[in-house]
Amino acid sequence: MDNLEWNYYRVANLSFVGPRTLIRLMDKFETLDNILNADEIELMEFFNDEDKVADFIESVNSDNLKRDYDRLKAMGIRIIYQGHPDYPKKLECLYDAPICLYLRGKLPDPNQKSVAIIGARQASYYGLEMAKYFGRELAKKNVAVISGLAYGADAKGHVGALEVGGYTLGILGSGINLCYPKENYHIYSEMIIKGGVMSESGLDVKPHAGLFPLRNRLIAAMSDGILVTEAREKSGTLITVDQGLELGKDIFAIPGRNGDPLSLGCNRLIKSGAKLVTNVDDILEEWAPIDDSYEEISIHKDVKLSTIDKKVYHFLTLEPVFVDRIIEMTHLSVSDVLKALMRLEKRGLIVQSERNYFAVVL
Amino acid sequence: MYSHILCGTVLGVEGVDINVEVDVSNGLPMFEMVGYLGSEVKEARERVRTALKNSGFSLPAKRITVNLSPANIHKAGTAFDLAIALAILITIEDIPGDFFKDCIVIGELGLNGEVRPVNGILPMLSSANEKGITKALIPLDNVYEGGVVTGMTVYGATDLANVVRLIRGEDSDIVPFHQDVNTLFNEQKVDGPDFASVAGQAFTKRALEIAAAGFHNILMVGPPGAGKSMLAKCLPSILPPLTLKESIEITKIYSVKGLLKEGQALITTRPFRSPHHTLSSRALTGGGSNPLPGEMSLAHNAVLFLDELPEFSRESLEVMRQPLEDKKVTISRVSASYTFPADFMLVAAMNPCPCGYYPDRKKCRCSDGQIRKYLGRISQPMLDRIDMCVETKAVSYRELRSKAKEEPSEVIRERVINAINIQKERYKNIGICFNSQLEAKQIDEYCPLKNREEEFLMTAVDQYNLSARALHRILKVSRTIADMKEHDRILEDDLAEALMFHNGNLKFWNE
Repeated sequence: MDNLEWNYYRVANLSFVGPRTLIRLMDKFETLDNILNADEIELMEFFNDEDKVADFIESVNSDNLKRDYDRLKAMGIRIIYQGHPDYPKKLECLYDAPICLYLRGKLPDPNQKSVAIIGARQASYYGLEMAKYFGRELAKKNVAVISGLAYGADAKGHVGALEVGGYTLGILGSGINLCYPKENYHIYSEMIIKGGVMSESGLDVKPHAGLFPLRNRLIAAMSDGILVTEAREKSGTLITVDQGLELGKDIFAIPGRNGDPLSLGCNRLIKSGAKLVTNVDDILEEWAPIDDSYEEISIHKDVKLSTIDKKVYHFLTLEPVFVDRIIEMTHLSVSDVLKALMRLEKRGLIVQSERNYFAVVL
Repeated sequence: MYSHILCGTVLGVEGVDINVEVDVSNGLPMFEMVGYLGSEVKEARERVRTALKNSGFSLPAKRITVNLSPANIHKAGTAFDLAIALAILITIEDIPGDFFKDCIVIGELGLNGEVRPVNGILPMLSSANEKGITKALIPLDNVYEGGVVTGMTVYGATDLANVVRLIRGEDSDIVPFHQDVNTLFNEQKVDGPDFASVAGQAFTKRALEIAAAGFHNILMVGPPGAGKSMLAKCLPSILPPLTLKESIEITKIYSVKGLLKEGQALITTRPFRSPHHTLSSRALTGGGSNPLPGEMSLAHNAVLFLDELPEFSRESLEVMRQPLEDKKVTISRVSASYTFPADFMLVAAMNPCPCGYYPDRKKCRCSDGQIRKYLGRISQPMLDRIDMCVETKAVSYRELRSKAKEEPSEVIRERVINAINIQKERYKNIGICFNSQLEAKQIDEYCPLKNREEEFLMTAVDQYNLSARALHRILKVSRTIADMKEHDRILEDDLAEALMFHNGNLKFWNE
């Protein structure tokens, strides 16, 4: 058993000990061994609270600790502690850098640029498509895509990167072995193999509101730039942006329509200095000169289509349209429209975003 | 001395003849009633005794035994009072008995001798009539209902004294009641809201028209305020007029339940039942120790509208599954098993998510989990019984203020009737009326497809991952659409339209 790892693991799971307390404890006790073997009087001097000391001693000697440590090992979950050779350099600059990280899969290559794709959980189709598009295009350019495996933009960013076999890292706000929300389990399990999933919390820790801001600070810290796809005026996403700004990260935002409540946050970010991006080159040029020319995003692909299909295809946008409106506006028969929609969907050009609502795929 | 009079009771919605037998013989003075009686029937003894006294008759100091036969049927209700009183009077020879040949006597007595109305007159009279009974003495308040039975001479009794005068051939104000059922029936008019009063919503209107034409169950999904309830209320106005047979079936159910309005002889318009979502499953199926029909039966031959479908209790929804298949409700009790007809068209409405605005994410902030949970309240087996599903969207200002003339229900109704006639003609030999009633094996026979259509459907099934059940529903609905357009066979366009309204992937919403 790796003694250092075991000690870090024990310290990380002590009651009342987080990254900041650990720094103070180290000041007093100097080594982890001393902390873990401290007697009641020494601890009393430090905590000055009998209950805390009792809890501390109980948690040091807890049987569960060893059991969970063995389970972690059996599940192949890695423990990356402070000072471990793989401990991400980017986290070291945090004043409350995690004591231990739990990891399934791989960490991003330290030389690789990384972008966090974040946005509203209750996103519009436009926001979801944008997250997926940028996830995919960034991965193609060998940029690591980082996000939180949540609903909406997070999940789509991961999915985009996975589609083209790129690297993507999910940072959880729950225990490493829990996927929250459950609906994203298929993404979680794919990422364990093809990318990485990381958490500051150990086994079986239930997600709760207090954990997410902590998770967000890791997302902000692990990335070089933060891309916001959609955000309401008062969005949790903006907390991550604030944390990113404190760490000196580049902030990118995808513009939305003026007045659209789901884009209010993004547009406001742009107004206050975030970079407006319409394609991946806008992001990449911040870090390295771009040799090839800009190619703006086009919602309609340049493909050969029959006249009817073309008419239907070009009527559709990123805003899902109800089928009866397509019929009404294209002046085509019901069967012509439905056949065209089916053909277009089969070719992957459009998608039925909701029942009977259609939109183009980026 | 012995005599008997025919009376009746109701089991389910069927009338059953009950023979009221009275024996008066020497012995200790007493008044005894037997025959598997409910407590309200036993109490008839006091009502009858007092009513007789207050109408000027005195009971002899003899042993009076009353038996309601057949004695193995549990008897409930107050319909036997009048028959018991009259049978006693015949037995003690106060009145002649020949009036009661081929006559059924029904009515409750007040202590003053007044004859009061009872429920279930129509089923009792019509089943008696089938057995050759031609005369009926019933409470005056029930004569309109009783007069519906053709071939029956109906007397409306006001009070016991009057009835006795009638029987003795003395001067009485009771005269046979006559009404012409056909005139009555033809007077029916469509009431309720008209489709012309709903602005826009062409897509939903079209769906409802198809549903009406094939008697398909339909589910409307849309945000609050889109007009789902209003559109559903308009539905009876495009359903075909009732036939007399249907009308009598409905009236029987309402008669048993006591829901006929005063002076109402027949229910001539299709009822529109919209029970609130808090109702219990018993209220839906019917029940009680002497079962009465529930909402599903009250919507027989008509529309059962369930607004806010996911808000109904799971039990209420699941209990509808069997009746939706069998078109009847069967309630079993220790004493007997009761069957109520329940051939209704289910029209349901619901919001797509708890707040109602999904997929408009500008307004809707429900989490995916919430939406999933909300939709999950409706089970797949329930959805499998609903042929059509239509999204209803909020009406735009432009549509609301549009001066465009909306099509009145009358015009739509013509088309619906036309389509229904085509179906009736096609299915006349297999005992069904509508496309929605087609069974899986009949679908192959009545919904054949040519290559072109087959190919279209195959692509759709492939692409949308449709189940065999969904496929059958699409075929049935497309058959209706073809009938509406008077196509001999289902064409590609018909299939395409049915595909828009299929409900195969309601759960598809939040993938």
